[in-house]
Amino acid sequence: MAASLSISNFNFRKLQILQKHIVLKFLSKLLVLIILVGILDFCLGSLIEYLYYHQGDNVYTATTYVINEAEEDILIFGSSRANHHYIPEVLTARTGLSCYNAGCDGRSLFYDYALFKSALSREKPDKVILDLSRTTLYFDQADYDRLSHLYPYYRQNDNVREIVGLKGKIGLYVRLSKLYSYNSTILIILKSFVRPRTDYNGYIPYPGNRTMDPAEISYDSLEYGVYHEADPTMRLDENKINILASFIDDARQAEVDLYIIDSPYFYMHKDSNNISLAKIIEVLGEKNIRYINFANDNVFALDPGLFGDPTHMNDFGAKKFTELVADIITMEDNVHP
Amino acid sequence: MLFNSIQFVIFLPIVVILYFILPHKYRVFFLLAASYYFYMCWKPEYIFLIMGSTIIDYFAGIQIEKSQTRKRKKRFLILSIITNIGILFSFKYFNFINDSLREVFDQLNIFYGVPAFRVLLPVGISFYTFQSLSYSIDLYRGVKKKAERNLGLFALYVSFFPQLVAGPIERSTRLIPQLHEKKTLSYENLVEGMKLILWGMFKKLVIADRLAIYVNAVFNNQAEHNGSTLIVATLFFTFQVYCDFSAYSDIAIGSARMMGYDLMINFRRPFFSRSFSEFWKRWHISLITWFKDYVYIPLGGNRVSKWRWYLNIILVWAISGLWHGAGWNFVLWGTISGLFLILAVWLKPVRVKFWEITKWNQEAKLHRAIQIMLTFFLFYFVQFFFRANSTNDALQIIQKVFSDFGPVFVGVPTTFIFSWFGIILLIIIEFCQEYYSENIRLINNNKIVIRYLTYATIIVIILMIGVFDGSQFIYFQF
Repeated sequence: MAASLSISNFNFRKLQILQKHIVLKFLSKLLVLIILVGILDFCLGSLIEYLYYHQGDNVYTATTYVINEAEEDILIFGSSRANHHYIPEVLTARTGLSCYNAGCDGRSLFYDYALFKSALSREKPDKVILDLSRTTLYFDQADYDRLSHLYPYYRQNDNVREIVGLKGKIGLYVRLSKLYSYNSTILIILKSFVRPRTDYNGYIPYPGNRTMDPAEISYDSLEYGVYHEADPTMRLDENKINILASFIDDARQAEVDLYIIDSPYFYMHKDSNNISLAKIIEVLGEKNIRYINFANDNVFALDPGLFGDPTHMNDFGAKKFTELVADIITMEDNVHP
Repeated sequence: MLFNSIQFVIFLPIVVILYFILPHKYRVFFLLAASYYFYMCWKPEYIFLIMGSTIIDYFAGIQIEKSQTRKRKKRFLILSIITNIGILFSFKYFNFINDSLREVFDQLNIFYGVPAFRVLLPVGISFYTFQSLSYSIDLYRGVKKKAERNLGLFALYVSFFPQLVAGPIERSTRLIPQLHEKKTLSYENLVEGMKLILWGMFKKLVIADRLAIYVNAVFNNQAEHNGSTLIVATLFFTFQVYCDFSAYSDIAIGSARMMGYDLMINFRRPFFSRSFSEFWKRWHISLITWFKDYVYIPLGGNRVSKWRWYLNIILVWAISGLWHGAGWNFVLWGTISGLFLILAVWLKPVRVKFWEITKWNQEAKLHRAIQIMLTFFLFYFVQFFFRANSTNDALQIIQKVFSDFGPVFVGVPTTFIFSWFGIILLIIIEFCQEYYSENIRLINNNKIVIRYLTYATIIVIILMIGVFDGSQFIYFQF
């Protein structure tokens, strides 16, 4: 009995030593791998970081410029509609104020707010134009996914960190890996060295400056004067509602003149189901700010010569529209100098 | 809990460490608790479905074993079948059948008032019900001699977290004995498990999720896209679904391997199959063999008249289609797959004759390449039905593919380029694994430097171009 006990104790001890050996072997090799990955991550990450901040003009350099350098009197924020609809040269000519268009394809209110706060913390602009589409406040997962555009600034910019935090725990990856901060950017960076983009203080005319092809026009929509009645099943995004309110509050606190504008669309809109629009009007009403709405404006709507596609104006349309916006700004300056 | 989430990255090491720290007698209950927690992270109340299915199959299994007469055994088998198929029917197929009936009655202008059952489909329901069902059938058939008496262990067999929500669908004869064994910590198992997890993560994050961006952009707005774009999108989807699902299997097998469990291989480089029948021996192996063992063979398999055999093939494949999704497009997907298999049988004499006349070398590289491409094309074709939102959509897409040519939609150029990069890389790697596994070794190289550089390169590529938005695995919906 005693003998068998001692044998089993011996086996148990042997097993424990063996298992300890396995754990140590595994952990030591895992540590080697982690160190190797860490070194590669740091070296390659630093290389991409260098390329990122020395690349030719492209969408990233525009973001970097607004976050780190922009000192213009007027800053314009919004998505592709802002980018293609507001011409800084026209605004400068009419108002005498310098201007930069920070609009960016596919970006949302989250992106706008991160850039606005960053610019505000550095140099206060006189005026800010926020191009706010009537469907902005609907929840759209893509708006969160596209916050990856801001990862390169995550480590050094508190405002960016706050906004990227809305995406959940993804910031952990950005903090842990330098390489991940530049995830999927490498091709765009390399392209910028070969073929940098051309913009005019951020403004990019609609590609090819095309007008709308009659074949693209939905005549059924024209007949009823309706296009895109908002989907009643879509839900509002509380984060966006809060960000909109904060945008207004921050502008007011910094004494920045804020113009919230919905620029023109080709088709007329029927808004009976549009809870996003209703919420925008409610928030702006509470904050006592005007929603300058060109969505169903007869001057622009249904004129194919002014549009490249149903949601984007071409350069002709943009010029005509920017002149109107400049007039509004000048007029308000005259009323409230 | 998703495999490609931070939660899982924390969960798995904790489970593995605690598993080996605990004495053997507590491990089953610990793994069961971990598995239930894993499932409850998604929708806690649906754990009761798994528990219900487990208890009834546990009871039915013991009764099947104890019963002296065939009739009594059958009674308990039917209880098990009704329970599992009933759960599956209520949550997955009720609305499909209800909607189909409504459409028929509407056509006949007859009022049909049965309301829809609006409920979220429980994740993995098709997997765990099939796994549980195979246990009862094996006991009834005598393939498995003894019913499991340990309820905790049986519950773990039904809900073992690595393969709970998307397989591989294990058999009781393979997994239950392993759950009884006392597992010891093994360096080889830890390393092999982690290699599989790493490769799975690469396929999911770098290839599948990147392809998904383009595929979703096209199929969510398919009316706006021409045939050329739909051809490319379906090609991308074919690789996406493979990478997504095989990635899940790799991560599942790897996670189980770390604890010493050996789950069955689910994919064996199916895109290098030389015939459509070989393809299905390499694709979703655990499901296809399930259908073979529990549906095809009971129907008579190929030991019946020729026409009955063809009918068996069509039936099994139509059911397999329905297993994948409650929609007529899935039924068509399965039926057409079955028809392709029958066509291959019909055309075999013609092929053989042709090879004889032309003295064609069947082992020539060109011949093999043609066979592989033809097999791929057949699978690619059925994907039009698999990805489309409905049969009508699928038919519209196919019509466009043959009539509406134009420039291919690129969308975001980086996504398009990274998608092609992923596909080409996958083909090269799998080509090497298929034909040069002895000569070209990276992840399994004997030299530690090459092995570690390979691991590090995979991780670096994941960090550089992986898509980290935590998207679900496609097969969760089944």
